[in-house]
Amino acid sequence: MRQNEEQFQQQAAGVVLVGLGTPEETAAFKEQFHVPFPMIADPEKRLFKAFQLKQATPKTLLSVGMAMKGLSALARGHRIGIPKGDVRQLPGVFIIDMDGRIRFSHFAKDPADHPPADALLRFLQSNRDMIPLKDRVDPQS
Amino acid sequence: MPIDMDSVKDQEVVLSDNAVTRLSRFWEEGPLVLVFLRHYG
Repeated sequence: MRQNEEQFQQQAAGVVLVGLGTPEETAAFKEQFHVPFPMIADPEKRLFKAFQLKQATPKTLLSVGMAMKGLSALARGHRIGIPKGDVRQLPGVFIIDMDGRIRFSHFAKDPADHPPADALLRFLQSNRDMIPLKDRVDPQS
Repeated sequence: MPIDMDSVKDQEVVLSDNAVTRLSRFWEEGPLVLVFLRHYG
């Protein structure tokens, strides 16, 4: 998502990441991966629980599909480190409008299941009522 | 059960620099993409 920072700005959308580590671990992650967005540290999973994000079953974590996704990530240059935080916790993505309503939700089915940034940008572009009037750009102009 | 945004919006959150803020601050100026990550590492 960090490569798409400018496109999210063009949609007047903020991006915030929520991690399972302590503030110190989260700061280290942010620095290591050059994350340009604010990051919330949620080691007690208060927000994860409030947004009703589930935990993976052992069967999911040990499935052939997860192994294939892991190998694919390694092939793309991702590194494997010592996990920090609950490895069973599943991720998710929500788009919240200025009235505090959830307009888009994605509850991951496994730890590597996340919607591509392009899909999130398309959702924002097709729901322009969420964008403040002052930030709306006429596509014809 | 739907997510209770009325209670979520006032939830205090801690940022990576130890600053504390309300979650709703992040959607005051525009829509928010809130991304929950899996574990680090």
